[in-house]
Amino acid sequence: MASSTTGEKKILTLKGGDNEEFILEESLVLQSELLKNMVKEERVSSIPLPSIKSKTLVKIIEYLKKHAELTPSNKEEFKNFEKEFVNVVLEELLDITVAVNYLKINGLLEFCCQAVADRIKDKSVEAVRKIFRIESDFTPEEESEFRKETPEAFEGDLDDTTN
Amino acid sequence: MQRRTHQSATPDAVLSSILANLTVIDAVRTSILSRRWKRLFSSMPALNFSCLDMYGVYRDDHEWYPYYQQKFLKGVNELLELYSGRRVPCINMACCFARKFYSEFNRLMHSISRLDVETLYLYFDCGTAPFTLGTNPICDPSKLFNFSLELLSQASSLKHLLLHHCIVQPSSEVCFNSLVSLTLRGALLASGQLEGILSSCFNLKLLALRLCKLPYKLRISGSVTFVVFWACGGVEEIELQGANLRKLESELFNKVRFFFSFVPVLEDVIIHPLEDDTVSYVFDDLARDLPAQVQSLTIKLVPSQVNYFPTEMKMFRTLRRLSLILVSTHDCFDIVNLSPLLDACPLLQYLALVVTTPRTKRNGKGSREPPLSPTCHTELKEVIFCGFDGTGSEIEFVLYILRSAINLEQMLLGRGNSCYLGCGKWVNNLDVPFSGRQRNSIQKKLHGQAISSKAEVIIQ
Repeated sequence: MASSTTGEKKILTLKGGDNEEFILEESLVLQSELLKNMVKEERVSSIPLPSIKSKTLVKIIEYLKKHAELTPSNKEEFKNFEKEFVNVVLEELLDITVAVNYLKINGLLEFCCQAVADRIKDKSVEAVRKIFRIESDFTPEEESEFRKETPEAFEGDLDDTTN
Repeated sequence: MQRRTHQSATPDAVLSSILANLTVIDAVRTSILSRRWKRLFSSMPALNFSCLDMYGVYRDDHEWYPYYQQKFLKGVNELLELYSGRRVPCINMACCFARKFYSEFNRLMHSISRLDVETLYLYFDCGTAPFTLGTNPICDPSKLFNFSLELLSQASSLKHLLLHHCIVQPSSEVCFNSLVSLTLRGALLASGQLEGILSSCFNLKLLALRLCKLPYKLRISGSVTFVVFWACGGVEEIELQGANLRKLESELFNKVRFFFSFVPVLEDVIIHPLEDDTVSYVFDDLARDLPAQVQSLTIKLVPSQVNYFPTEMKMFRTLRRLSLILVSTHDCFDIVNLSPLLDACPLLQYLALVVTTPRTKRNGKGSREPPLSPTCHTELKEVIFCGFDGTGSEIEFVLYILRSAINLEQMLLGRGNSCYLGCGKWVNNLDVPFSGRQRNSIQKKLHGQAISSKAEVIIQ
């Protein structure tokens, strides 16, 4: 991949899982510890990220741009953007979270984890299983034993799997 | 083939971070999702309990339901028993009704002590009960939890302890050999209690007292290296007797006198007088009493407090580094008024000025005639002026320094601000450049004025 510069700004290409290419300013990706190390140490101009879907990458790049524009005066606007940013279906939110963890964008990772946590709190065990599509590998006896260990935590566990 | 699920594609590290953002009560429910989740739950490095997360009642009325309160404590205890035999480095607990359930709470502390906990934060007020909102936590001592340090006698790995909203009872039976930092917030301390606490902590480094009501007289002794008083009241005499004490930070509501009885390594003192009488104390008795080994002094002032400078200032005879932070207010303020302070510090090598007063409230004219008569400052080498805006009186003050500091090496004038938050933390926002025209105009006024040939003036 050819490296190109316009003026003093260095340009970098990110290649998503489905081979789609994203061209952006190098300064933007420095928010990612992983990419920062790659750019600084190996002086690459194109980085393949096969494990990240293009759809996810688009979202993350959108965040990086907004975050780079953050100043004390548009804090409110940024907060609203963050709120909207995580307002996606859980599957997509988890994809983003996993990608952000891989890219090591620390501030955003914390925010995404909080957003996922907010989705599962106050939900019954069954509802959380449904959200995460987890199949229990416990026997029913094991499960009821665990419930007995901390009965207070499971009290009032309603059937909210339809929500 | 196993069906690909979300969570199997999600690394443990991410799931653990998600768990860490849940309350423990929610997190424990994830432990029966699957074996993987159970393993993640039982290796959580930090546990957070809050009475706000009690089941069965609305958050806002949780203060009123003793049945649910007792159940909450029981639930927490069950949970801690699940962890018994494991290591949990950090536990955070907020419980505003602990004082009503002393024996349950005792049991809880006992369980916590056995988890090799290193960082323990105990809040006896969750901050939401309507009657405590916005009020001084110590207004009603009957609402304070009476916390005896004996409760933690088995916590042999404890390094950091924070107690919020309580009365702290020392215990002569207990030795905290591992404790490094102790923070008391919203605590009521009677005479002799703090001394008792300090005498049982042999390796304590940091003692922070925040929003505490203190007895008339305090003696700080033992191994501490850094002592912070922040928004505390009641105390009027503080005796410092710490062989290792290096740094003292004080923000007190009333006039306090410090007695430096034995502080051989004290080097850094930070004072924020919340009350005007303290200002005159700082520039009078404190200046006289400040031990020679103290080289750096930081004073945070409201500009109007400059009026409380005593007419004849005592000399800070040995002071090498002085930082003055002028906190933003609505009073008008002329920085030239600060110049007597420089004359009171004959050995000063470094001066930092941080001005956060809004521009419109600064005296911009610099109309004083004649200009200040310079006395010689032979030692002053470095001056940093943050929040410099180039007003007439600021220029005049800068000129005063340039003309009198005969060995000045560097002067940095920055428009942006830097602000001291306490506890050694600063926020810097120095990157606010002057426009070309402003810079030229400042440069023109200062050009060739420095008496020192080595002086370099940097305008950011």
